[in-house]
Amino acid sequence: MNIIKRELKANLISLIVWSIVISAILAMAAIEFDAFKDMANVDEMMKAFPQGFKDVFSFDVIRFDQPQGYYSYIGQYFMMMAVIFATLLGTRILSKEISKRTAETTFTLPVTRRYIISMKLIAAIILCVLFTSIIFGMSYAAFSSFDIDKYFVGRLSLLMLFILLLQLLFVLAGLFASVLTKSHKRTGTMMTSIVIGVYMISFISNMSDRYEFLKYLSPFEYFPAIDIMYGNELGLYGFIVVPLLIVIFFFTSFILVEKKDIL
Amino acid sequence: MNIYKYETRKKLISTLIWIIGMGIFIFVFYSVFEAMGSSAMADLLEEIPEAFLKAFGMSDNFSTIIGYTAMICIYIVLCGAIFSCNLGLNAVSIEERDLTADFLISKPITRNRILTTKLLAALTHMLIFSVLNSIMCYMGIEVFRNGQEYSFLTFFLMMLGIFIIQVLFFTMGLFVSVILKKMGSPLSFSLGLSFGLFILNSFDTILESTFIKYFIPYDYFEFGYIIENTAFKTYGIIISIGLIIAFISGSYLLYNKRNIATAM
Repeated sequence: MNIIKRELKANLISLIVWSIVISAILAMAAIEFDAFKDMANVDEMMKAFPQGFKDVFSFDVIRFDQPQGYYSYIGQYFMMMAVIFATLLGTRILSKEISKRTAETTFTLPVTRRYIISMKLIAAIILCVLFTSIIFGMSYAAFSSFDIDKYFVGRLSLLMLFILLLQLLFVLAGLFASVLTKSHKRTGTMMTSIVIGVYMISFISNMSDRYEFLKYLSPFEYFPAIDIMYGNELGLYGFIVVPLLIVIFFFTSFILVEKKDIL
Repeated sequence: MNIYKYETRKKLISTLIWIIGMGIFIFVFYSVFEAMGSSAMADLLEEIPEAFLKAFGMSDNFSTIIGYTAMICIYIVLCGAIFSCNLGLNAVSIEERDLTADFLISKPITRNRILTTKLLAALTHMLIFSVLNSIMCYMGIEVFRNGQEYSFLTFFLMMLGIFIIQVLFFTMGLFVSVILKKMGSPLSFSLGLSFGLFILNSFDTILESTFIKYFIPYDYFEFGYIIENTAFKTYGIIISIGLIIAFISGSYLLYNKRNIATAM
């Protein structure tokens, strides 16, 4: 319990900074949406774009004059921010203790290694839940002045659940990476580059049919914000791969951390 | 000279990884140019409100190769900003984080000298980054332009603009790292700064009418303006160079007075 409290307190400031950024973005988004929603025949304009273009930005599906259409566009940015936040939390669980040389203190406490790691993991998950709740609350507040219905709120909460699932995946991926690696100063940088690379892959996979196969490599494409906001059916692939990866990362990290040489 | 050599060599691999990533990205982007461009595009763009297009970073006519390059450059400039900001934040602060600062400071050279060499090393890296990026973009244009004409000067100005933004972000990072007592996680800071300003930049509706635009470096060298006028925005170039000078001199002043954290 003390470990959880300590971890939550240590990450409080970063959480506050993130929520300020999110609120600023949402406030701006609300102003921008206000301009879009009264724009005449947005739908007609969108249809006139060349096909290649509509594919990249999903212009043929999204209606920017509707709240759920607009939110499905900015929602993907929140997805990415949430995942970066989670990844950094995950790598810090172990790497920060080692690179800051506090591991000597922490791991000589009269508790097992697994106990420490699981307590820190719980703290990270609590922070992720707080993070998504903040996004949800702020989004609701920002869009509440427009005529949003129950459907929008339901879809929004569903999107948050999927973001949470991805966060869980990446917290564990971060932990897994820091268990495997030897250079603990670089784990955070390495994992963040991987996340951004994966995001770029999903961007590329939307660009042309030629690169569509790439979407299986990117967890961002398993649960696209557009499909969630519009209530389209999601591909089965993600529902198999993500839980599987979560289980693999969790168990291998917990097995390997027992044997790890902590300097 | 030794510090310069050491600094340049140490970061070379990470710069190369960046370049490889950028290269793949640039190639993929250009390879779908044909699917994007269409002659109806120019008419279409006139009908759509400017604010809307700017929100998606495509205020330029991307059926032409130079307009398309401008769209790619929006992402290049974002990557360049993250890269440079990271260099700036790490340049001096990494010594204190790794507890090597007392070793470096006790060498028989002044702090100014240390800062200068580190600045030059980082500048070398940014130059490598920019030049290689420009060459890759140039190759992309030449391979995929399908005989379209374009103005080389415009292209050159765009690349120069990206480089100046990079230097600006680098000095900003350096200044921040010297101001703060302790630089805990430079990566989250540089990501936050670059991405935050980037997202802010895409909310054009609010931007153009208010003074906020003077705070956003990406707006100083807006590519649409460069294409139209084959010149930089006057206030953009003045503000950015002024800021670079201010940040550098501020860093020198503060670093000389800095209380260096040691292992003790």
